[in-house]
Amino acid sequence: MTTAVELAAAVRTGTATARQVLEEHLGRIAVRDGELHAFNEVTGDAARVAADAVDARAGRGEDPGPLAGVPVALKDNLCTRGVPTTCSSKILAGWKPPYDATVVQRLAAAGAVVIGKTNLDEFAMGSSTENSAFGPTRNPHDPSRVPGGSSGGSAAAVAAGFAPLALGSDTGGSIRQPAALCGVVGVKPTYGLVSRYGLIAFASSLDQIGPFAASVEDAAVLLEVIAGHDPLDSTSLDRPAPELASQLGRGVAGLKVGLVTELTGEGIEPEVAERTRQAAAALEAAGAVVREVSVPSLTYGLSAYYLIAPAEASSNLARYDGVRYGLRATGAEDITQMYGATRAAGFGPEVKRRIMLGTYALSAGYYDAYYGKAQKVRTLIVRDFAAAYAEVDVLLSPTTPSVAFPLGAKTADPLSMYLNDVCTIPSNLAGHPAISVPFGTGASGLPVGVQLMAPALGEATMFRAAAAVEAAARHLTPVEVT
Amino acid sequence: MSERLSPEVVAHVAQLARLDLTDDELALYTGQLAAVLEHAADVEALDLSDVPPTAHPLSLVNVLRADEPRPCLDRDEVLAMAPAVEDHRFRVPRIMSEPSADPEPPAGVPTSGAPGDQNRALPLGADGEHR
Repeated sequence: MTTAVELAAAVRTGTATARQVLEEHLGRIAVRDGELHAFNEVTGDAARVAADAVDARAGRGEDPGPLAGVPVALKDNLCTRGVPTTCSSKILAGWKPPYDATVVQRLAAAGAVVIGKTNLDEFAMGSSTENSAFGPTRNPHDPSRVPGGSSGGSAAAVAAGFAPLALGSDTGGSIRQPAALCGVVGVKPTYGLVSRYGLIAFASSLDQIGPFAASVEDAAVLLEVIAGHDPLDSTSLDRPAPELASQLGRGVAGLKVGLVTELTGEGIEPEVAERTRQAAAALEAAGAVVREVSVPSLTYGLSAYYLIAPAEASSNLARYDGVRYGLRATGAEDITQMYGATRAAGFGPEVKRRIMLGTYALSAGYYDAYYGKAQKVRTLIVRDFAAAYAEVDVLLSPTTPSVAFPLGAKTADPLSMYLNDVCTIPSNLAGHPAISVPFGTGASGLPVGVQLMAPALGEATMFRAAAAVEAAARHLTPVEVT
Repeated sequence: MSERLSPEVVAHVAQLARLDLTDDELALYTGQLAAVLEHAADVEALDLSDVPPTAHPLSLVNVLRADEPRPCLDRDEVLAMAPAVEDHRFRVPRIMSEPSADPEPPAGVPTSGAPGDQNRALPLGADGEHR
């Protein structure tokens, strides 16, 4: 498959047109997205206009930008002016945002072509994309299995070749977990590196937009395009976008890598644990210094997350009340009835569950025991990470406890679904960057991802390690599980 | 802690969250929320009296900008997405609880604040029980 970097180079030098590139991808979508349902909406007409504009610029001798003519799929919780943005929820069905997210504007400025809006777990709450009000997305490697979630549509779109690049959002692993299950690269950047303006909020202290790509280099180029300060997001870091792609070739000689004890033992399937150990060995062979590192408080991350994230969600989702946009239940006698009926009709089961959990955790009498305690655990995790990063440059773990599971396998038991996020949650709680890199397949032939984590703004080092893991993955033999 | 999670407590939480739940949903969520809180017992058991809370990954400070007029969202474009509009404002069912047979306010009577006055429309926040 041609990479995004190669496609952009071809369009910039005139050996291909953005329109040809787009039609090729639209053709693949037409053939297979009926089966996979990666997209909520394919914006073919608008994409053709954008692609032709890129070609016109190239024809005039101008440089259309680093992503010239590269199709990009957007998770359907990123606002696109005049194009329906649903969060895969009935409560926003038909809503057309009156503005573009900052990342959408930056993509356009870089010459990228938005090809459509991808499916997700409703309001990004879930780990399988089965919580979409519009039906699940299926894994391109085995359509009887989930693509992961919540950004399952974006992960499946890249894995199926529908788009070389996609954007997702990651609150507790919603980019990295589906990337791992679909065999693509997924990045959760440092909190504040990418503007959240126009990302529909789930848990504001954890949410971060990030790239999906088929290669580490493509992900680096996409992150360079979307990163950087934005006055419209008051939590946006006031510093220039990092240089990532130019650093990938520097290798990992002398780099200190910690294999996380707490995330490689109990609860991790043997085939995934084996691949993670092989990734550690590969980094060592490439010149890195690998040792095991204990980060004890990570074991409390899952519990803390499932109190903090629903608490923030219960507050953020208060805005869906039938007043200013989206669904309104009819027949209510007063506004209170209208609120309750609108929200009952518009939200799906998982969103209701999390609103209930968050409202409970914040309510008088339980606040100190749950939300207050969870915020203190967050401090423990930040401290333990700081201690680990005093010893090593990056941390290595599996991205997920298992490979992709069958549709329906975990829908009846929310807690078993939540356990999917055990390896990815800590980086969100600390605000740190992390990347999932495909590393071969498990015994079942399904993709395995390994995760590299770094301290805040450690993206350049993290991407270098990821490039080394990616290079080693090309020489893997089938896993032997003993 | 989960013994506190009676269906009555769950029904009260649903009311706080402005979610009309069916009896079946109440029963389902009572069990499922108890299971999640059970899992959180590991956190609940920790002695963290000396640990300060972390609310946010960044050390947040006020971000100020110059108080100058600048373009904002187009009013008509915003109102075009509203379920009901009257007189360039969002129209809502009546907000006072006086008895009346009319489910919608009389024409021409503004019943909600200006479009920017979001707090009045939020279903949560007015409850003293929230922190």
